[in-house]
Amino acid sequence: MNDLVGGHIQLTFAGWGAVRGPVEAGLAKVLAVAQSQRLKAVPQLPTSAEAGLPGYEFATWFGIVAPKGTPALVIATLARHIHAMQDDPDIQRSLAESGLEPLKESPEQFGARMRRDYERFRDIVKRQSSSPSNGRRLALRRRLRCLIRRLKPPHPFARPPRRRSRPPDHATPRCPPSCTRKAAAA
Amino acid sequence: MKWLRYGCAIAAVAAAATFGGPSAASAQDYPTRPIRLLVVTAAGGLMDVAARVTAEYVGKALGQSIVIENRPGGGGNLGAEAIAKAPPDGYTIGLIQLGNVAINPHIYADMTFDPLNDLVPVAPVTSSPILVVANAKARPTTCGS
Repeated sequence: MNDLVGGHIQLTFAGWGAVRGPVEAGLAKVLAVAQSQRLKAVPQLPTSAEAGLPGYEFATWFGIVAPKGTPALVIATLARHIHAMQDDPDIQRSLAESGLEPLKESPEQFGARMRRDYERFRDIVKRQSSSPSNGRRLALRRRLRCLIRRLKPPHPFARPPRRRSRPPDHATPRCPPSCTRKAAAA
Repeated sequence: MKWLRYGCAIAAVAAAATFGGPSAASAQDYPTRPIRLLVVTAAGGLMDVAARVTAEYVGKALGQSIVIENRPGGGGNLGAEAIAKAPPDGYTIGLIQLGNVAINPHIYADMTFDPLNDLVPVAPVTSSPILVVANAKARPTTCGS
């Protein structure tokens, strides 16, 4: 968030609680809320579909878990109290201030959600982590070698580089098609 | 005297198996002492809000205090591992997020536990959509541009 406000990065992804200060101070702006409904706490923010990114939906959840082997009775007791908390309007209001919305599910439903999310992200990670093609790898290597060559000091007995008859292309900046200076000069 | 020593060891193990495990009675009058709530992120974040609200409300309802312990680090793996390896007696619970079970197992090669199987679900607390945020001076007004 500090990097965004400072102008070091252009875009970030975060929950409302984390961005609320800078947004209210006018230092950052929310382009989209990545879900199909607007946030109840801040209804003026556009959803991703409204901002031009239909289908871009991602919400994270926070949930209570216990170590494997915890007695079922203990889990049922805790779940009952958490559900009672989620029904409390005061709690709902204080959570909403941070952009958090209650997610009321039984332990079984929560378990199913965990497995579903595990599979969803397994597929996403698999798709994203495919290795670069050979052509791309060669191009990368060429660029890297070029960089290293520039960084290395020249050999002490190296011949001086041949003087080119014509100045290199980059010496005279070429105008892009949209340049207005070119038209003015002509 | 080797046989005697082995005999004693077997008897001790048997006794521990009979009397030492969490009995039904201890689960019924749960909780009898404060509960630890391990949170996988540092204090002051969004997750801490959910943790504090839960600890206060559920603690009051149970008649025992719920003490928050922040265990950040390793992309949340450190805290989640501490939850998974805690004694399963109901006195250590944890607050985790989607990334702990859904993303970390796919991107960390050195996972020392299996989040999906070593952690049992109790209940989700909140859901929070991700916002796409830009610097106020940035050009784009919609995500398409």
